[in-house]
Amino acid sequence: MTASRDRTPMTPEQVSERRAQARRTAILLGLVALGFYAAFIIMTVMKS
Amino acid sequence: MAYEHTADDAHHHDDHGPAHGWRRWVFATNHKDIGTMYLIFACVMFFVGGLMAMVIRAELFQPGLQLVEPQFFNSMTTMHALVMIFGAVMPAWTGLANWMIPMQVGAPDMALPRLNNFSFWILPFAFTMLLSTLLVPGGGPAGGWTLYPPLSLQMADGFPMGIFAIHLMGASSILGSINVVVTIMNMRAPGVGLLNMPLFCWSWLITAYLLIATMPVLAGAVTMLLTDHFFGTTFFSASGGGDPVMYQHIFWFFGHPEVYILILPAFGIVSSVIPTFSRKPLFGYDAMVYATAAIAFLSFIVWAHHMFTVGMPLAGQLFFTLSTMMISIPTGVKVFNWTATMWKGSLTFETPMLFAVAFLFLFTIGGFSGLMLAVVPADFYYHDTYFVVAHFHYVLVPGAVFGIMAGVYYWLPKWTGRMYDEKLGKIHFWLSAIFVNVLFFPQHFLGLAGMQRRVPDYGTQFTDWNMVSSIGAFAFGLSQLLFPYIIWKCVKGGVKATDRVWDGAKGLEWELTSPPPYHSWDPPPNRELVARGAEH
Repeated sequence: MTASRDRTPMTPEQVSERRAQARRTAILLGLVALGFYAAFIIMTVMKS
Repeated sequence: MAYEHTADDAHHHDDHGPAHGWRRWVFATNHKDIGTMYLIFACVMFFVGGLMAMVIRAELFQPGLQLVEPQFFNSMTTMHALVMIFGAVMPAWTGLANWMIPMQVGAPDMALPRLNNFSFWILPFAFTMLLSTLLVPGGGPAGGWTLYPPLSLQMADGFPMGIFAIHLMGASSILGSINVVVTIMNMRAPGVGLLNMPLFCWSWLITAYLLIATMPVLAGAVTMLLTDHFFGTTFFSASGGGDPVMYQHIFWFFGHPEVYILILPAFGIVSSVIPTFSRKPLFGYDAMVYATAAIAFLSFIVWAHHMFTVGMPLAGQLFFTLSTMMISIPTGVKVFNWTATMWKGSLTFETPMLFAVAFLFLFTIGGFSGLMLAVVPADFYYHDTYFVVAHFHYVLVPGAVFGIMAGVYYWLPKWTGRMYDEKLGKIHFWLSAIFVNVLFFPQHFLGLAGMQRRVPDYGTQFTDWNMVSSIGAFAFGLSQLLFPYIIWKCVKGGVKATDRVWDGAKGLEWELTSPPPYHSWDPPPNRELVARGAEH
């Protein structure tokens, strides 16, 4: 439906920068999830 | 990954299509293929969970024990909940997210396509394992979906299988959520700002953060159940210095946000459907975003309203009552804004709009009964009765499930390039809307009269409304068979759909062809196209 003038191709630098950002965000969120997992187990150990 | 391609070879990239045969699905990295697999999986699980509900309602048709043993009945209630929550509703939302988020933010695909494949393929293994527990000695989980110890620790051979399956479901949800957040935060096309992307993306972004924060908490809780069962720890056993109530706190710290995980994406869909069929912009977009965020925040500080009868200090009771009631403020903002969007609109009632309007009415009934449950003295009476069952089913069936139906009917012509049979869609809606009320409304009366939940037998004074409820359940279940038939008929021979499909539709997804190209936005749309998509 859209014509080619409606799209702007990304440069290789933009693409690699976006990949790096995506990787960094994914690792950070994974660490947050692991942190919640560990924190609640540690909290229960401390309480019991 | 699709977006690794450079500008120079972008035109080659558009040329290649999907792999053929089973490889297309097993090794799928395309967001649409994975979205389709999630949706098919969710549909299958919806019918598996529905079949369990039929067993429950058949047993409860009359007082006395008719069809199944009490232990198996308890397994059915537990498995019905686990299958519907983790197997049907959550994968359906992830499927819709996979299909729509890249198309709505102007991305070629999800940010992490291989992770996307992995998070889907975990699910069939998890549910095969969970359902297999019904075949092992001792049967499946039967202590309720909350898996409270010490009852859950009395499970036999199925225990480790059930716990492992829950870990796998959690891992799948977390990985899927990471993908959603990374896609929205990093893959938006130029001009797609956070405060002008569709509300479905917003509601999913907030849902994904909720999932990342709470699923590990459930995983932690069931890991500790596992070590209590097999490794001699006593996290939740008073005999060794532990505390079973601690499990309840941890579980509900996950469990209450989970309710919003199930419903927030429906808010996003309704926020797209109502403006489209009202032919008006959404009333109060910014307020809707902030209301969704406020609901998500409040969901973390209300968990103990599930535990009033366990006992807690008066200050705790007051805090959890008031914080729970506060959720009605942002929710009220949403209901007001949807209503205001329809006000003086040029309304038409195609199937997605019918489901969205029914959502608005019936979800609000579930919200009101939730307010009643937030009041401590009243909750002491309602707790563990069918009133609670009626409340959360009003939130989850005409809430979450009707939201999914609205979304599927809304975007199906875009996905397939063909229109579904509108007449059959409307029949599906009316049967669903009528019988969901026949099924669940009498359960309010049963609960108020004192009928306990999770029991296979009951006093004869509850017979009449149980019969009505069961008839509603059978009719509702049967009418859902129309849904896969309508989709199959649409895919096989529906009338060709236009690219915009609905004349009031706005957003980038409607700027693509119907069906969209294999790589949706590669290269990404420019600012002019994004602005045009928002205007239409």
